[in-house]
Amino acid sequence: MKVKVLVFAHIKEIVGSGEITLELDNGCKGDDVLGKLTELHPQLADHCKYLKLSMNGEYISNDDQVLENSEIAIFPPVSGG
Amino acid sequence: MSNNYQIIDHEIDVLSLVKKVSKPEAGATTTFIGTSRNFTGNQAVSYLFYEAYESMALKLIEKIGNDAISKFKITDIAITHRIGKVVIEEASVVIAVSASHREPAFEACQYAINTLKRIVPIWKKEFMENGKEMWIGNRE
Repeated sequence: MKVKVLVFAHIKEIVGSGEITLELDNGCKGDDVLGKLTELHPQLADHCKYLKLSMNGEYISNDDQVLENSEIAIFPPVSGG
Repeated sequence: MSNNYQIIDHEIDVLSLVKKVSKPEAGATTTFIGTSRNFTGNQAVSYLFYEAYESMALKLIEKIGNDAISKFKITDIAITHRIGKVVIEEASVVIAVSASHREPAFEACQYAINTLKRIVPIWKKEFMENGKEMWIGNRE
């Protein structure tokens, strides 16, 4: 299944783009999205442990299932304000 | 989406937020203004740059406002966060809260900025005077 993935801050700089589409197995979890992205960008391996995930604008955990055609975002801890 | 919650890429007009929450029954208005500071640790900062996951950030900023109205006896709240380059002394975030009395206005304002800094997907990059630049993770 195809999933749109948005990345932000230094993760966007590592990936080289703010948005990519990944081909993932049906029923995959948040962790699998991180794994696939790390396969494509091995420098992300050092960052994975603290990254946050959201699906369609809501925070999800690494164990949550990712739905087809959803918008996933991967980002570091927030630092607004 | 209520006009009380905004993400903008230009200077924030603090007075406009105060006016948004102004109500005849409100006897107190508090504001929080977060500004770019010219140092971090012992390093001189030249300016800040903010990036947002705008759709999610706006949704969460609106939720913070609605939650503040539920939790505290306040009349109204407005929150604006700025993105892009923010030079020293300019505001990156402004919160205005009106209430009948000052205590809930102070409490709701503090609740709103603390929650914003914890959950809203916005990131800050510091540009140092020595030419270095660094994305900042949550320090709190």
